Amino acid sequence: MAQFLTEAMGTLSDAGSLFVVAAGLTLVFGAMRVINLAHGSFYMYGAFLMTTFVGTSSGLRFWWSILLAALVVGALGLVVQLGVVRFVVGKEPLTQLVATFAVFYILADIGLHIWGDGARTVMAPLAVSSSFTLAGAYLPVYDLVIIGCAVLVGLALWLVLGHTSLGWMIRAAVDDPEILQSGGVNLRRLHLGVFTAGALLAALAGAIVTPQISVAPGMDQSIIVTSLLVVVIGGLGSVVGTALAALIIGIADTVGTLVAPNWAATFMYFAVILVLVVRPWGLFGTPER
Amino acid sequence: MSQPLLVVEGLVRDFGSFRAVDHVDFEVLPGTIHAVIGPNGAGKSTLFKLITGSLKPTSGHVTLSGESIEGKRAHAVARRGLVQVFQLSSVYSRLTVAESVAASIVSRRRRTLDVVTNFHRTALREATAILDQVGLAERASTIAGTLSHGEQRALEIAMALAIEPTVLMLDEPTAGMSPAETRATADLIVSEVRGRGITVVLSEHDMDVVFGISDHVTVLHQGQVIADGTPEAVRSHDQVMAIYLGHGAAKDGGAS
Amino acid sequence: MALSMNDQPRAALTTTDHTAPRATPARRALRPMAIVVGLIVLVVLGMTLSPSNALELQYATSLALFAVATNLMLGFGGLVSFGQGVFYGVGAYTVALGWMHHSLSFGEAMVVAPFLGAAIAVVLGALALRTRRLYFALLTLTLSQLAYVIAENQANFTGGTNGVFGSMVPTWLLDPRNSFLFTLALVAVSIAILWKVTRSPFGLVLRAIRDNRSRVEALGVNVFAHELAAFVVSGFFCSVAGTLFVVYSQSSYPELLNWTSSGVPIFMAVIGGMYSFLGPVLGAFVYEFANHFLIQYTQDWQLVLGVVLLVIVLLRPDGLAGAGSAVAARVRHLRTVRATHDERPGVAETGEGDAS
Repeated sequence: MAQFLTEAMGTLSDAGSLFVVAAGLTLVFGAMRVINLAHGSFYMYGAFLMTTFVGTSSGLRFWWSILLAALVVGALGLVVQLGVVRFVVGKEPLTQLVATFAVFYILADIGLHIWGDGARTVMAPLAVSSSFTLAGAYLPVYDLVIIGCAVLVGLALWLVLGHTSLGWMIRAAVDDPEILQSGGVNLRRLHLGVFTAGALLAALAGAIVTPQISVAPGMDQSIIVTSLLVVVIGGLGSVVGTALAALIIGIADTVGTLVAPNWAATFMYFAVILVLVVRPWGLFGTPER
Repeated sequence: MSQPLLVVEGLVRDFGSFRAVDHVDFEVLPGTIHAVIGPNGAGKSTLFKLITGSLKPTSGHVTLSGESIEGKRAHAVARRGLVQVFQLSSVYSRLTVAESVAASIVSRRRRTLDVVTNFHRTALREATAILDQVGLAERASTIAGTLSHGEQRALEIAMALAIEPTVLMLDEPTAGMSPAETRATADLIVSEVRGRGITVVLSEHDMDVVFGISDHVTVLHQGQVIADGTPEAVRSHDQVMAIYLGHGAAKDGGAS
Repeated sequence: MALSMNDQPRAALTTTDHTAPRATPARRALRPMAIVVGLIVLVVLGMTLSPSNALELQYATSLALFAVATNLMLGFGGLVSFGQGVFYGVGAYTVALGWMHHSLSFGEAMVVAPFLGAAIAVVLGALALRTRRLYFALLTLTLSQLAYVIAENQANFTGGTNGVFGSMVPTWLLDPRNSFLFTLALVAVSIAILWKVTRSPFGLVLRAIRDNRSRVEALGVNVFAHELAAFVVSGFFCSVAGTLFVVYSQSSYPELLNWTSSGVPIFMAVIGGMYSFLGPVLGAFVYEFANHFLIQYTQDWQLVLGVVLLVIVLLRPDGLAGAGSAVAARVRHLRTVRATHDERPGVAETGEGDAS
């Protein structure tokens, strides 16, 4: 029981942060039909900015730094959207993938210049870096922080997308752009807002996981792959699918580690293949025309 | 009286609770031009898709030369000789005009997986002859995507002819054309398509074309057949006059 | 391919499809001559350059095959596969593991590798080609990462993160000149076969599928089977290129299989021009030499590559080959205009419909 609780908590926490990153990716795809391969770079920048802002201090500054890191990367997203992505909206997948891959390279290089190629760490404030006991299991409080954050992001997206006119506009942006524009909606501004929000979510996830990981170059590459797995399983553009898929990936990873450590890293890929054999467009996706 | 080539029986297609095609029956005789007309949203395009296999019917039967084809996939239906020319221009944007037609020829001869021979050269030569008949011979080496709208439609017909179909389905062949282009297309259908013994099923909004070249007319309204017969019989049909011509759609109806 | 469907006519005017066979006899005769000259230049360079530069040229030559084989999918089939690294890696690992496990001699591995790559392509293709366009790209990317993870984690069999290295090629291939000539010969033969594949009835149908999938389906063609065939042929030759990586480096490691490695031949094709058969060759040489020389002067290779890719993909989606032929067409046009002005005004040359 104790071991189960420990594993479950860790899985939920991993799935939570993964959901926040992937939600940004799928949000952008849902509104713009663009898959941003530089999305992982936003995550990495969020983490590195966190190391810069927090420095060696602990305490309240930690929380402000998360917010600040997310906002700075949001602004970076704004620049990327205006400078590159808006030119590839509506273009062929190849154009979009190569252009955002190029942004990925550029941001990776700039990141190296700013933060170097060494690994960095961040300490969580004392209040949340302890553990608590539940049914004999020692569980890290910080896992609860990440899970709480993921739940909040999920709820916010559910509310905004499902129950506001902004959400309706974001969903209509792909299906009926003409109707939207004839209704006086500025599609460019909508895209700008959505892309910024996507970057912000990635950075939020990157910032919030810093106490649990070592922040190093290359994390942009690994997180983008995992988030792609998530959105592909969930179905591109579906937030519900993303949540479910993040959980599936988290569970696949944990089960893999327990059952066959040697093959652990492959479990999530086989989960993807399994899902796609049954549903080529993901759990909640729709076939591409 | 010859046997019908294409028989449509009790064809139904639902989209959710909406019934787009509602128990449609008609027969197409070989060598004829058979028009399917009706106001926008009457279900013509859906009916065409059901016949060509790009949509699956909810119920009903489609028979081609005595063989059931409903529910078969598009390429399987095409293999049996029923070929569609699309409403929206969909020529190969980066192929030349001659190559576009050659692709049809390669496909008809089932040489599409051939990586060894120079059969595509033979096909290109054959293509030139077909292009000559539709008036595109001079454009043979032009990139198809750069042709004018009317030329693209002519190319569409050339690409379809190259498959040597038994039935050619033409969905709104004159949509968006100038009066001159429309006349040229109608002539093309009569001389080059029917002239080769190919049976034509077309949907069309231009009543001059319909009544000028058709041998038989089927009128659809809200998914149902309301009249079916010779152009003269249909023209004088009361219900058709009331709901179709009465809307003034006969002359200026746009593409659906 | 890099153009959206709704601006076809205009876009097609600005970017010529060089995958289309040229019509003019003069140019048809010019092309083989240019290729022969190119081969001679390569041989001379390979024999005279310093060993380290010759080795670099050898690597670029093998990458040219990787790029051309990938472009069979990309430029001719309209299929963006971010998974060709799998086949490249399979090629390299077949040679390396055959040596490590004493199971295959170098010669045997060179023969087995492409067929193994093709066999894997049948399986992965059947899986990935159930999807289209973006999903296909992402699914192939996923498969590429899966292969990478397997290679990295099955250390007992694959040597793990560090990969395999050692004297896995025969001694005669350790001589830089032999090694270069061997690579060039294999690449030339492979590219010639790929050329024939694109200039065949199959090649024509493949380009038609690229331009309009459902149209070809309506012709009665099983599109899936043709896309799978292209995937398998591409996988076969990507594996050949992979075996040449071992000839170049005497090593094989997991990064050969991952998604960034799969991106490399795509970038080469995009830089060189994916609508031209030999464009990717140009792209491979430009890419590799820029990489090689820039690394000596600056650490910002990624930055430069990123900016170059952005400029090309946003401004010249048909790459250097497209830009080159646009310039050539402009020059020809000017000459024609001048000629007609000089002689008989009003008589324009009509024979060159394929040049824009």
